Amino acid sequence: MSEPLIEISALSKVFQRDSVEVRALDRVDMQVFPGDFVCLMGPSGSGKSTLLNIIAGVDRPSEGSVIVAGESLNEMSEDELAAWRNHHVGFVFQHFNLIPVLTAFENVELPLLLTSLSKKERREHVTTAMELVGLTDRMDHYPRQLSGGQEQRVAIARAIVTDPTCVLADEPTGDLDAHSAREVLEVLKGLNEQFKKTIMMVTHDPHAAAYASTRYQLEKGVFSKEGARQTV
Amino acid sequence: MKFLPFLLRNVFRNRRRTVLTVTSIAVSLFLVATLLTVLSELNEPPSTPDSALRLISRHKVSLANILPKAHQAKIRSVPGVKGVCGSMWYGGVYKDPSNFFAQFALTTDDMMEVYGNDVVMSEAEKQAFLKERTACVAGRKLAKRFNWKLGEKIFLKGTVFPFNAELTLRGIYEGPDESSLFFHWEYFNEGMSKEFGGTADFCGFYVIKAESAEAVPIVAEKIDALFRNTTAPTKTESEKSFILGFISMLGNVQLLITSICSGVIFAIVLVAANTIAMSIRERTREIGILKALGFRRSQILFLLLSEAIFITLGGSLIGSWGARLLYSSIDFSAVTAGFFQRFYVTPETLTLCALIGLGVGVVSAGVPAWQASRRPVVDALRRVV
Repeated sequence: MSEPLIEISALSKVFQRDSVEVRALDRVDMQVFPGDFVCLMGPSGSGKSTLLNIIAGVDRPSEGSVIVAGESLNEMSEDELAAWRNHHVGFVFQHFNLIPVLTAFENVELPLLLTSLSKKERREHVTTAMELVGLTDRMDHYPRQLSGGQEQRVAIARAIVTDPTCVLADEPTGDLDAHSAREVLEVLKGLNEQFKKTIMMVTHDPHAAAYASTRYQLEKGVFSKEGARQTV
Repeated sequence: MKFLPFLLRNVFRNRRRTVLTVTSIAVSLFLVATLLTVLSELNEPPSTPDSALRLISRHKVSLANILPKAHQAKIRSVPGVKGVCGSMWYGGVYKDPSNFFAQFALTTDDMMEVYGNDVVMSEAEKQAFLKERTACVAGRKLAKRFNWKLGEKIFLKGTVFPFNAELTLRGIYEGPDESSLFFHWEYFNEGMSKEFGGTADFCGFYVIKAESAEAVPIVAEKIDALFRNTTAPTKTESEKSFILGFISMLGNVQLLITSICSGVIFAIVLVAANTIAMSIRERTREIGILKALGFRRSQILFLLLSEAIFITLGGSLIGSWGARLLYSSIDFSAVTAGFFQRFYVTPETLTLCALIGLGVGVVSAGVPAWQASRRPVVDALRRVV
């Protein structure tokens, strides 16, 4: 078996809400291997988005270690983490989170502005990403001119345009109707199967979870016994 | 440069707000450029090679005190003096008090020597003026203002002095100050003598031409020394110092203008800060997205500050250059009845306005941009505005 791409050991996250201490994650251990399509499930407040945010390097753990692609996130500064995110992580949000004043093309190009690629190279990368999500005919459209499903596919194109090590999706179908959700999940599945992209997805939806190869069930900050790791 | 399109999209994401903010800054900086130009014109009266050699000698006590005509010959005898004109501010009314312009009664023997190229007219006009007791010469702009032609009869009603001047226009001169009227001191003295029943024989001040720029301070010192222990002691200074001293009688104009400018700048900082803070607050979530995509704090700070500076600098450039273009097309000498011979927004003023625009951008956006750039990504993403 290959080395894990994501390795989490004794990870805890504690939030301080006024005088109340909320333990969102409690000594969680986890391993994700290259090419996995992992689904994190669990009720609201179980800590799945917190776990995803920590793996994405947008949040810090209170305790424990996170190693992604051989690099320990705990030891990185804010700026190092930002550069690391740009290189290794493609993030897909529930609410799409496209920049409204930019076209689909420009939204997808945004992470590439942080690289040293030329304008021509950026255009090639964006076109490839838009082809993968099947939206080359919508490149000049603004987010308001797109349907929810199309917006999320643009968001996926933005997430993969830098060819990241892993794609992290936080309830990517949460704001979509069944048809659009299926389209988005097919795109993610295609990325996983054809391009061996490691995908980690948080979802409530059992239909969405069915696309994953591995499922984790979180409850109150710990993996439940029966859902600790189910390989489908 | 690759961030420029993104920056411009953000600047114009709310066009109405941006246009209003830029307009408010442009109007404010137009006002600031105007006030700074007033200050610079007051502090730097137009200078010519001839005016640099001229001195003004007035009564030591005040400009309101008169000097005996006898001083003229004594001043002319001072080494380094090339010529002397006795001068009297007449202050008459032409038809209506609103038609104000400067009028001086001048001794004419040294007039052309003293004013040199600052009063230029044809030889025929010069001779016609010099030989006629009631003749006068007017600046080109003044003649144009009242549509005067050579031979025009000009009646000035005395207000300061109980004597009305009935003059004939014999010359129209060109020079740095084209808004004044000069007539013969002898005619003025004659009129005043009739009123006083004897000889008046006084001047308000003397305009002196020194032989060289080096001689100016020496001549001033010698003239004052000459009259130190007389009943009419003098204060002699360069023409520029005299004008500045005259302007200082208006009060502390510099403090007044600086205070108004400071108030205006403070007000635009508040306007810009409010607008920019609102614009940044509205985009907290987007800033979180940018950070999640890999934008560093410094890049976020740079983008937000650049947006603010684009707006404030743009406004300041529109305002200050607008002032320059507008004022260059207006004859300020006519508009201000000769108070300002020119009204030129200098490159220094334009630079200062640009720096003010830059500073307003940095100051107004500094705190909100800094806070936004340091906000944790998760907090920013959760923020619903």
